[in-house]
Amino acid sequence: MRGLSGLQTLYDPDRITQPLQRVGGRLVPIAWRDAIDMLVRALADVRKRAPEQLLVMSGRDRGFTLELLARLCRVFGSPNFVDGTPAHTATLARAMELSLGVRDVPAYTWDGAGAILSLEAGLFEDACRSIYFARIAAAMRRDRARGARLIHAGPTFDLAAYNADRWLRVQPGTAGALALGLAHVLVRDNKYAEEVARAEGFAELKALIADYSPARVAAITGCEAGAVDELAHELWQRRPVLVVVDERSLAYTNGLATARVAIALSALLGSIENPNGGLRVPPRAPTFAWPEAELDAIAERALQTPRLDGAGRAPFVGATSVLDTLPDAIRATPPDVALLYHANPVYARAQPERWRDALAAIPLVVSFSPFLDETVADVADLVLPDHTFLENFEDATPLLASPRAVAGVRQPVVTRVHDTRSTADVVIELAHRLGEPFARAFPWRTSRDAFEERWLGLHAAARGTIVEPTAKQFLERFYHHGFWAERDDALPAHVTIKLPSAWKEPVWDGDPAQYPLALVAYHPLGHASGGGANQPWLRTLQPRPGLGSWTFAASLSPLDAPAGVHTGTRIRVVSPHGAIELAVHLDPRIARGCIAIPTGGGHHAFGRWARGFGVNVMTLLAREPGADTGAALTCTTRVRVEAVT
Amino acid sequence: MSLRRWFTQLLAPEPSPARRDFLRNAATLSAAVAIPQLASAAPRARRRRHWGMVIDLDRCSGCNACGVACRQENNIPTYGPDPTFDGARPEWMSMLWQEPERADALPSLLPLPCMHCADPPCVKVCPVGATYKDPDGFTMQVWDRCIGCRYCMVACPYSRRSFNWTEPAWTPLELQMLNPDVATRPRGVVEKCTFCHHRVRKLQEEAALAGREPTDAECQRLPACAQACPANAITFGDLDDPDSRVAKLSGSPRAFRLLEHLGTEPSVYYLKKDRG
Amino acid sequence: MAGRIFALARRHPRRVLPAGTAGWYALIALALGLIGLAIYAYSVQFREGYIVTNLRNPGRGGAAWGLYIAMDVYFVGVSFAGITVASIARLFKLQVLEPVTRLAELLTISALLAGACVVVADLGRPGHGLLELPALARPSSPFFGTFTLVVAGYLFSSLVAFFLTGRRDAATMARIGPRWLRWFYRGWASGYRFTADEHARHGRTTFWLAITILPLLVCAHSTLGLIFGIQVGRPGWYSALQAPGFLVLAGASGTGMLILATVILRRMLRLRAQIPDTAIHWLGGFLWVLALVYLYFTVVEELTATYAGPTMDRHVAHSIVTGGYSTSFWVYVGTMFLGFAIPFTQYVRGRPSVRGIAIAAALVNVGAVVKRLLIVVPSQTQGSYLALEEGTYTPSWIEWSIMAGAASLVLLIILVFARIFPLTHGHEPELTRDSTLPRDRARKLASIAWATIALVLVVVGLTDSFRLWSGGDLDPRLPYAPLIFAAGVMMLFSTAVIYELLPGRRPPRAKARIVDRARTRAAPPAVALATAIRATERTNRPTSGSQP
Repeated sequence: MRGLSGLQTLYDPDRITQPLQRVGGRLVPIAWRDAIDMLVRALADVRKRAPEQLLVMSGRDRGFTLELLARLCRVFGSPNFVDGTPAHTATLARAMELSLGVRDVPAYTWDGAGAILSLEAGLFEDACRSIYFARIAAAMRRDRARGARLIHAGPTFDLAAYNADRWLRVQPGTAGALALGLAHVLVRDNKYAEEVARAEGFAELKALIADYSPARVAAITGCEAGAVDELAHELWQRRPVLVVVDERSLAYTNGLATARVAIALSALLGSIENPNGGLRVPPRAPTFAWPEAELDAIAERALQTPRLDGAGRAPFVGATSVLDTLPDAIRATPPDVALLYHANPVYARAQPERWRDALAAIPLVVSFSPFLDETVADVADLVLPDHTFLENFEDATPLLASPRAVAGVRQPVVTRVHDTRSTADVVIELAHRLGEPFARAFPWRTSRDAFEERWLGLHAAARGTIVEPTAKQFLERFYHHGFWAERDDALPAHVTIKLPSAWKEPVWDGDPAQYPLALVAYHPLGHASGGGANQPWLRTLQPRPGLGSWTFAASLSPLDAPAGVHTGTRIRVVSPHGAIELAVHLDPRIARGCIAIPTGGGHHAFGRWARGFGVNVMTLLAREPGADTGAALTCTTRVRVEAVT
Repeated sequence: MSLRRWFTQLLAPEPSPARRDFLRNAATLSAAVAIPQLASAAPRARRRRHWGMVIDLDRCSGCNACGVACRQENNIPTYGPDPTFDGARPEWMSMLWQEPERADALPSLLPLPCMHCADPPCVKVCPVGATYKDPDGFTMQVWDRCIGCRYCMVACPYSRRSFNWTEPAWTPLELQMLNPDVATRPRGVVEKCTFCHHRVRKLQEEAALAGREPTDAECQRLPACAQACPANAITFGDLDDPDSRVAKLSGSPRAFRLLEHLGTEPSVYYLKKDRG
Repeated sequence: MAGRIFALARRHPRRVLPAGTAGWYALIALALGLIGLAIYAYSVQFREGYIVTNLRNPGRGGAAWGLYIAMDVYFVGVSFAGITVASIARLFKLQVLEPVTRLAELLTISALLAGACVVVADLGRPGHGLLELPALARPSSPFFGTFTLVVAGYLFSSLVAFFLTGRRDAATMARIGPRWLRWFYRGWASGYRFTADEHARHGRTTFWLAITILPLLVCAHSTLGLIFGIQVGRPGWYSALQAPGFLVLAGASGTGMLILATVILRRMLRLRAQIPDTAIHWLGGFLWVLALVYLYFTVVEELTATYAGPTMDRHVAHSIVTGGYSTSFWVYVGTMFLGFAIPFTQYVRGRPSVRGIAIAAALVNVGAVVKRLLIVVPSQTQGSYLALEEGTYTPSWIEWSIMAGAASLVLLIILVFARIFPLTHGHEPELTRDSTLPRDRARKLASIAWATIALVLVVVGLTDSFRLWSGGDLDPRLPYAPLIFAAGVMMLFSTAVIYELLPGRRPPRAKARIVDRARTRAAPPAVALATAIRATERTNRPTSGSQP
């Protein structure tokens, strides 16, 4: 689906067709040569004065291009590299680090699992894995002798609830309590994997789950007490069980704790590193790493400067990047140059107006975006447009779904349509133009050379789907197939499990008396990490089952709706930080006390298909970075609803 | 517009310059599709079929990849969120959301293509024969013949037909996205799902060149929707061939068709959801 | 009755035709204005596409058919009553209806033209439609009736009847009418001679036309009803009652429109003397009977739908009676009921009044328009057997404009005609069924030959239009088979024209001298003519077997 509609990114009539420079408030075309010259001059200047004044922000969290940018930033001497790790990836990776000692998003084994327990996960609607999951779920249900059951716990009737064999309606952010309740029953009835009793923190875990009896869980979540018992026994019967959390589960302030509880539950069900089913530590493809870049004295000194976003320091000890603290930090000490790679914070982050003000304070904002998004339109001073994915040559390493390492290459399907350049190539050229020590750290002529150096590690490993005697032949076959993969799933690894000791209900910003409803901001089907906005084929997808295409509506229980409000009425949704007006859809199945609003509406740039549709729910959100990980959370705010007269 | 041009436009609307080139290129293939006499000039020794589809609702996750693929394959124009176009956006593959009869039961999502009924009400009422029943089981359309009376639209019990309420327009860049195997339709013409018969014809011609008939395996994921479905929920094939997958699936105890009591004999079977 | 025109001509030689009044000019201006608006509205629709109407896809809660189709069936319905009244008047020798027969036929023709305009306005590709229908139309589609049979059979036969019955007055007007229209009258008269032969022939053709047009009308109107009645997929449409219901409503609305036209013209052009109240009273009686029958149909429909019908049928019926369409429904019921009650009460009391009947007629027509919309729209916006979206439909200004333009076309034609041709007949033909006519072999042979060719064309055209000889092909075997069929039907009706118009034997010279003598006496032309004509009639009174 993403692939098909990707044509619309390639042929987007509102794409940026050549580099742009802001002159007198407007963006005017500029030649590549002049654009690079300008940037090199600015960077050289900043390096002379204060290298830490460079800010590099990415909207993506993986890829060789991103690594090249990180490398540039490091050799430059700036600690302010903010990667675009989505909140849930950061949270989940940190949870894995704390629980299993491996900082990465888990992979899953599906083949022998008897059940999938989704704790508020948007299984069929979120991000890239949803299409893969649809295939897996169908295969699990119908292609095996003993089909698996899908149990979904969540506050709204989304596609996961629709597809589930059983849907437990729980209050938003309380799926962790459900997991603790299940753990309570399992431990009480002595139905858990033996090795868990020997794991570190078992006593603390027992103390924690003692508080979460089925009755208490029923009170917190709103599901029935009997259901918890029943479900726990069923899961034990059907083990191993896949306990899944993702974007939607971890969008609350208790995201990290919920993730750890989910891992603990998997452990209790004997579903960690179980070859039949469950959570797996994701194996890495054996690509070579680039040699460590040599830093000169300037860089060494500048890298000591504390990061603008506060990552790595209390209270964000577990974070590699924090987004929500940046606008204030930038306002306080504006960097001199900002490079934005596939990042659109002036739309996509909480309280986008603060981002606009903050970025406007930076003298030179450079964006590599191929699309005229809000950040480019409102604050960018220089635009060096990247290719779209159908024109680009880059690596394609997916978020692993199964424990089998894969390395892929994304090759151009068409020659470039406009005067754009691959960002990886631009970074290498910048490095060469900046001279030493960059030239030594970037010894490749083009990005292709840099990438091939990495991929030759696969050749050296001499295993997997492509084994060739020479590097040349290996690369030839690699490009022909488009990917390399291990032949088999990774063998179960030995992991040391550390169990969690705490879990809290989510914290919501706003006085419950004034703002009685919890705002569940969700990424709808076709959101495609924000990139779907200018692809009308994705825009026409219904945001939620039951709503038609091209509808943008808030979902609210009829019991929570003010008098006189029915489906189709316009309502005003007010939070402590903003207000929006949109249509409402009364859904009798949504949990009481919450209102669900999709993201992706209210664009004022990003092309003709993005504009004029819906409203931007991010204007309502509090900026509440998650504890420890600093993840940018979206379900943290309370709101109230008024009818618009 | 001058009077003469208005009059010529009345009788034979001229495509815009951007489309003219594209249409010229697509003329050969679409002519073969649009004019049945030409199409029937293909090898006559083909086996007669009854093309049909089986949609397994237990596999379908409601992701609507089928809808996106259909739009892309068949050059269906998009009109954006402007409320003027509410109710006017063409849709060949729809997702039907059915609330259940009982309050405590759960709703269902059905992918809804054209049923290609064996006894179609739409074919009977067309005053000029712009839609007709192909002997292989397709309910075909001759877009160039349609006069836009919209009788077929109101006759279809499944409401699967869309009208081109305005001239579809693509920017020059977007024209490059169009599938050259499928003609674009001008305004004033009714359109609907074709079971991707251009793909079926192509397959039949290729097989005929190799001196054989297409196999069932080649047909199972032939239409764009079946090909795109990640859950493998949509299967296509010859209902009259007892060995085909669709024939076997359509005999399943879970199989049902929509509005059977109306006597339309639809060629799309659904397999009931098996949840709970 | 005979010679009313001549009576008028004697008193006011120049005033055979009514004078224009302020009201007449005002209505003409209004009609022209509305037609201009309709043309503009159509140009907007043509330029931008149907998106400018409020019609939408039924699968998304819209109505693909709306005001256009409703008005198309309404106008064709109105046309039904016109020629039916005229035919009934002649067949059953209803003298009381004599003054309104011409207006009735004119109403038929103009309403059919208006209906044709509206249905062409409804086509997504009208150019293609006009070019393709004659070549490719399929009789198995109920729309075939609308597009082909209505024009070929219905309109043409009405024109033929109108033409033939007006020849006599046209011949009169050719001599005493305004000079600048003499060409028109002469053309219409087409060599009409005031002979007994003509007279008798005309009687015969009128009889046969009346006999054949009536079943044709019933067929054509039933087709209109069948457009909806055979649609199994739309709750509320699928019903055996649609075809008869359309007939009755057509009769009611048409009679009402005829009453309105008569009353308005009478008043505006001061034709009270020519069109007496009794004609209107009779029509009023016809009106309340039909209105009552249609109310009965409505009751039966609603009962059937709501008693134990399928869910969606009940849903549609409820949405009409008590739901979103209830206002329209009760307006319709109210107007139709008043349209029945007012003339009925008058009838019971024995004191019919023209004003009351006119009000009832107007109400019935309002009710008929509303009912047409209620037939067409709710079964699409609320009526889907699958749980698709429901919606609403209200016509846009474009649709209202085109409807107003079509109605104004009717108005324009009638108003203009009333001033260029006498509305009331100078003389009603006596219908002749016996064969006491002078033998005229040539005429008989010519007519039979013509009719035979016509029948052959009809059979060949119709069977080929049904694609009976086409094998598996989509197209008829003969090019333009539907056109051949339509031409055959038109030829069949024009047999009447052949029969009447074929030149017969010339009258003997002696008679001509009498006319000359009358002229040399220098009497006022109208008087002289009248005397001469009477003289001719006396001489030409048919005697059995004799030749003039």
